[in-house]
Amino acid sequence: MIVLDNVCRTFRIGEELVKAVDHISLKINDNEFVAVVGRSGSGKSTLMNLIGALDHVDSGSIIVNGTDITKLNNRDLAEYRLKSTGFIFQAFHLEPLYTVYDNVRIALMIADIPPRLQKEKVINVLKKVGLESKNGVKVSKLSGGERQRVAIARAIVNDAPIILADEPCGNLDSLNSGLIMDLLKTLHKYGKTIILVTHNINDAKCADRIIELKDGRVIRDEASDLFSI
Amino acid sequence: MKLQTCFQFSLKELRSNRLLFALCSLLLVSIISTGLFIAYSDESIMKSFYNYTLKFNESGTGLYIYFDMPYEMLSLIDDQPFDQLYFNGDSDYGSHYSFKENSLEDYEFWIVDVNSEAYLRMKEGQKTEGVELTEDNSLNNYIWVSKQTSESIGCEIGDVISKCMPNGRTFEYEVAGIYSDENEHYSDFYISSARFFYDINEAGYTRVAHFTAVLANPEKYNHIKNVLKARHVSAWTDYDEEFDMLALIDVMLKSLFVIVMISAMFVVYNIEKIIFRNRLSFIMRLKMLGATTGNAVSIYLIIMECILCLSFVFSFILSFLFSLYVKRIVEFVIPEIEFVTANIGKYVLAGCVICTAILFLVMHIFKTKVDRQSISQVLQDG
Repeated sequence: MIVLDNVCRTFRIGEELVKAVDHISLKINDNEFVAVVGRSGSGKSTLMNLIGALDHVDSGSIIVNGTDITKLNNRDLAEYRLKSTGFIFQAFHLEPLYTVYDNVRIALMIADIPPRLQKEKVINVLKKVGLESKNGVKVSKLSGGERQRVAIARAIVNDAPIILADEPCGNLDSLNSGLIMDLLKTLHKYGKTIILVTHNINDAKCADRIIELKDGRVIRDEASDLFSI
Repeated sequence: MKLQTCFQFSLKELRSNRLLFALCSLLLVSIISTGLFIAYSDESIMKSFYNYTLKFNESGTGLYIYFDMPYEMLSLIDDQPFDQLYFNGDSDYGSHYSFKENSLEDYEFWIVDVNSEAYLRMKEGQKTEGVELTEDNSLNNYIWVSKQTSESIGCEIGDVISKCMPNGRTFEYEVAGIYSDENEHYSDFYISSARFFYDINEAGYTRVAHFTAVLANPEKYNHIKNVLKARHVSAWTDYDEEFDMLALIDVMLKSLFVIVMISAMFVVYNIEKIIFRNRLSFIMRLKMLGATTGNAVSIYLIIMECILCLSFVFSFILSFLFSLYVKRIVEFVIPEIEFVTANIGKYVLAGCVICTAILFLVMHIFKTKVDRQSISQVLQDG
């Protein structure tokens, strides 16, 4: 379970202080599929980064499975990111000069998985995302949809329970978007907690619950089938 | 992340960013080989020259240094690393001798001790008329004249030969003996050193003696020269002009070496900064995937250390090849010189240690910076 209590995060943009996340408190249950929606600058991505420990809070606490991650040191935060989270970004954040296989393998190397197991796990996960035939291809040679599937493969290869997806379909056409959303639904079905940040309400409708943010505050939090624009 | 994994990442990074690392290596090799070449040439030239100064000494045992100074100062130079020190007799006091008012300026006077080599040689196998020099009469105003000289100037035992000092004081010496001088190397007159120095002292002069010091290691010459100079004693050798010229070359090369080494440190520092800036987003992606900053930085520490070591090896080879030309030039300028190849292993080792220290320092600074940066911010900007 993820519990956010009075979380705040402020950025300085020039002379101005912008409250990206303003006293947000919420709970996300295990194996829940949550979509966070809102306009640009509403604080969706910041919220996701805080939950994934890619950024730090100014105040408040984020408790993940009983551990307050805002109080962890750098080493424990790295351990948390390694074991508990998998990230998917709109910009993919893959290594363009590495092959598909190597990009996925990076996560296993960091986790110190023995080399003989690495191959097996990478091939399995590439099969799941439909890229087993492209494992030797450099990422720079792939289409956007394929790159996003590599990112998903990398996010799930370590079997992290929480998947944080920030606009995963932002750069994709409708066909590829559909494929990616199907993959996320499958992951949810396999027991992962999915936090999807999107501004596309159709994608958000795939989730169990939709949280809407405005100016860093939660303005709506309800089941997706009840959510209307 | 295990060290083995860091190595694997390093290899991957090297393969994926060949051009970046190749350029860094090239830059390092050029600057390090320049530094090593300068150090190599400097030390080789100096060593060759020092050897050259030994080779052309009569004895070949060391470099001969000459200096004049009062006896009283001898204790002041006790601490100097002379291998041998010879006393070469007292300096000329500018006085002249006369016999019955005729000048004896063309005659050779020897100042002797009772057991000195010269005096023993005079006595040995020679027939001496009159009194012989002994410890007891060494302070008497005696002078010994060779038979040939006595005939030439017409003196006999008991006659008086006078010595006039430049300050006008005159001392008289009684002819105490006449010796046969079949050997042409023998001097015309012998005077007891005890009496002579007593008179010099009486006349108010300071005894200044000629010294010859032998240095087995000519590299110490300049230091010794400076030490003596600080005590107002001038020292010289037969190679002073060469020493001065080479000292200038040495200073120039050493200055260049220092400049190159400082540049090398800046190059190492900036190469690391370039690599880190270039790969910052990769480092942050690794952090996003669960690597610690230390893990990510270690990857580049391994790469940089490998590049540095390889650069030193290549630079060592390059500087050695260049130095062969220095050898040819030196041998062309001074054909009789025996070129001594310097050992620059110490420079390579020192360079490696210094550069590694810089590496660790920059890595530490960078690690602190990375720890302070937000991963999400860098990923967003990157």
